[in-house]
Amino acid sequence: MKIRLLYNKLAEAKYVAHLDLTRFLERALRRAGVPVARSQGFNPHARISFGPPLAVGVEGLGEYADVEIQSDGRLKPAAAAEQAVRALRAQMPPNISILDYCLLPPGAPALTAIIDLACYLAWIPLREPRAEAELERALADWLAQAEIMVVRTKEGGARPVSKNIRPFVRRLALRGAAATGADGPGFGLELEIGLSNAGSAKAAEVVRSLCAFAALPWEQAGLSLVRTGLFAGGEKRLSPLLTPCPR
Amino acid sequence: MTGAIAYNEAASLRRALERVLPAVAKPGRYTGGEWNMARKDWAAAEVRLAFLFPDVYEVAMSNLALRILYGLVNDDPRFLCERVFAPWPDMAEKMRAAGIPLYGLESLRPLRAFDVLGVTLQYELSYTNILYMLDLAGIPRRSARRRQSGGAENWPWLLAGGAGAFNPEPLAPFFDIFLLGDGEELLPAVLAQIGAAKKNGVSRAETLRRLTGRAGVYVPEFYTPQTDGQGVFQGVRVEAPAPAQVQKAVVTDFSAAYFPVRCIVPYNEAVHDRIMLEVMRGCTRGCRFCQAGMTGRPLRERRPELLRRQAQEAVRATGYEEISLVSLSTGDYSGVGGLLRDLTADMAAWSVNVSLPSLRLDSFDVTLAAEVQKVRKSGLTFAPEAGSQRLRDVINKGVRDEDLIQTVTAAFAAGWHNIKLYYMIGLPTEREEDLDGIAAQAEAVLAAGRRAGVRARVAVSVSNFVPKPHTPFQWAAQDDPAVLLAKQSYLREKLRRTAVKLQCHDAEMSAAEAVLSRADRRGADLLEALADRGAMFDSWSEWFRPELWRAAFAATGLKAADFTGARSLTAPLPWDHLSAGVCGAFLRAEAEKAGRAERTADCRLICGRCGACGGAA
Repeated sequence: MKIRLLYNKLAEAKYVAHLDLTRFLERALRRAGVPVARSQGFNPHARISFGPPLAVGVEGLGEYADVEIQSDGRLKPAAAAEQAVRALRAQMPPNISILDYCLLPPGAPALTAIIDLACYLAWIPLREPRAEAELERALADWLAQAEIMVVRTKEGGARPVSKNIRPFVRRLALRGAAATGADGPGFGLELEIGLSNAGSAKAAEVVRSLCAFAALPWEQAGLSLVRTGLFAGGEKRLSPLLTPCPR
Repeated sequence: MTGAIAYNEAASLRRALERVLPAVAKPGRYTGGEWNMARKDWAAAEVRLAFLFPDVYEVAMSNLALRILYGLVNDDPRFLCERVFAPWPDMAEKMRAAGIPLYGLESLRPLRAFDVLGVTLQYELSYTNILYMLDLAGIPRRSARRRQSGGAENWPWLLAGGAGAFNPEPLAPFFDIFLLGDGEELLPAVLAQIGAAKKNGVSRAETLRRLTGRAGVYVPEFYTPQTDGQGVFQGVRVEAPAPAQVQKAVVTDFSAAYFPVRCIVPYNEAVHDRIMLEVMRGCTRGCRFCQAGMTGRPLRERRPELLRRQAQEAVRATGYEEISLVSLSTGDYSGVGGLLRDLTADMAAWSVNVSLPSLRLDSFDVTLAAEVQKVRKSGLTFAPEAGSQRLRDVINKGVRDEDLIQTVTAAFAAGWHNIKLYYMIGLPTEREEDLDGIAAQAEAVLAAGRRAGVRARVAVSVSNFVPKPHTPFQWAAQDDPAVLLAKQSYLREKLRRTAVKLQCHDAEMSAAEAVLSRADRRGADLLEALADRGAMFDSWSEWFRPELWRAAFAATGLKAADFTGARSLTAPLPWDHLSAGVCGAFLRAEAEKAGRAERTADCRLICGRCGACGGAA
């Protein structure tokens, strides 16, 4: 029996790397006494799988994980799932919460196979304010490029690779520009980024490229990124919980 | 601290961190918030302790002393304990630039806000990090300096305990109190006294007078080293009411001692990221080089049914997937086989593995090992420590060549392929044939593999002997780094054409360790000269900078040889006024027996009259 969990990852939990989160969830399930199914073989591992990894330093408002649970048949699947989630919730820290869940039908495709869109919200601090019109123009000009190459360096001395990120950026929209305020001058940016077998673009990469392209006086240290949601079914039609998205 | 921002509130520190953390490696090291982290009411605590571990997060979080004392102090309603670790250099640089002082991970309050800073002294090469951390906290290093700037009462108390407290002389000028021995009963008692002093307005000086005399409390300012004209140590002058010799604190009923079942579960993977079930304390083997084996005496075991219950509780509280049975020599635990089988059975339903960390050849039983590693045959580690029977007798390590070959043959038959062998070079009385013995033994293990029809992989790890206080080798010389290097290349040449993988420890790092291990109070000048030159993370080969050590020696006029050379069996030693339980007469007798390559039996079989059990030697 498989359960799909919807959870968030806020505040300092944004610094928890993806692999560390995997280990964390496995331990939380053990504390909760949830009998997770395990693979056979020499090194049995818990059958838990995640959606697209969240970069370190990015908060997530709606992230997903699938957990396969051994059922002893005493409870109906719906009741067993409810019990497991209730026990798990008691084992989560304040900044990682289970928001919702669903029971997956047998043979449901994996999260990574169905999630095709990630939405982000960025706050980009500027040393000097910029007019909204100027920022709008910068977005339009950046999007108008046919090809946007970024260089990705890998840890461990592997050769850096170049990637064209333009095809993955579905939408960029200004979400307010401030001249001053609690966080100083800056602007908000909505990003919609596609994910496919061909890869994806990282939100931070898009912001860096945009700011460099438009020669914006931005403060990289103050950049804040939130992944607001993940979607499936093309055109934001389906939530990964297999429910239609509200239009 | 000119230019620094005054952080009165955790909120403002949090905001400053927000701007710094995205640009450092592993930011999770600096945020706290892990599962089982203590969240105590700051205002309600009578005494607030910051537990300083002078190394990076992943190392610190693997430490059992931290787990025990953190749990113990926080379980007491009178106290509060937070963790403070050494920021990696990338973070330290950003903290200095942003004016962020070193802070506690639980409440994000700066170190100066605490009543007590407690440092654990686990290894000598982390001492420079203590000064590095005090500098980052904006706290004057020397207690005399703290007294001068606003009075001692203006600053937190500085305490230190752990293995290094048995010779804390190079750190003495920086600390108010050292705690010797087991901390479970001692630390809360000292914190309570400090709390009472704080409440009743008792001065720091008076509180020190009241504390001294209690077993385990060493107040260095009551002991003034006496030297000859050349600065050579001649003993200490003791000031009343301090005792002539400080005895260590000992927890006698180990089963009743506190054990942390609700330990913190880090997000970042710690070096030892598992439940550590401490099955016993102390060791009866009597290896003559081993400080922990001598200072940890007497041997105390925990009851097996208690260990089973603690294991259950710890898994429920942490969710860890592995339990390690830790001690200096877990194979020597009475009834280790039964305990392993019971625990393995208890844990099967939880999908939790049980493991043994330190396997000794002479107590190693392949069926036992097969019990715990039913499926994973990752590798086995043995520590013959020396290559010849004669030298193993000198160091009192009871392992014979045939034991090793028999054991590895059984291990190959049971499915293991990877064997790791630990040796030490530079041991007292070592000769060329002892080095030849290391190579021969490693090759014999390879040959045993061939006979068993196994493509065995043998890795040899060679460390350098460091003479340690309170051991029978405390008077012995350490080889010069040049000699150690020559011995390493000799071994490398010997093993060049074989399939044995050889790994050698850095000779200059071992020399630095030896200096601090047996230094007197002059070592403090050296540490300060090192800190002034930016020394930090000296136990990390990528940060250890021998040129800084050379410069610090030159600046202080000290010589490494003053500390690494042989000492006379009759000359006073800088740690003679501190007792680790094992008496000097026993150590001297052991040193003489070592010279004759004479063995001493495991003291469970024949009492060696070391004095640690409380009986007179």
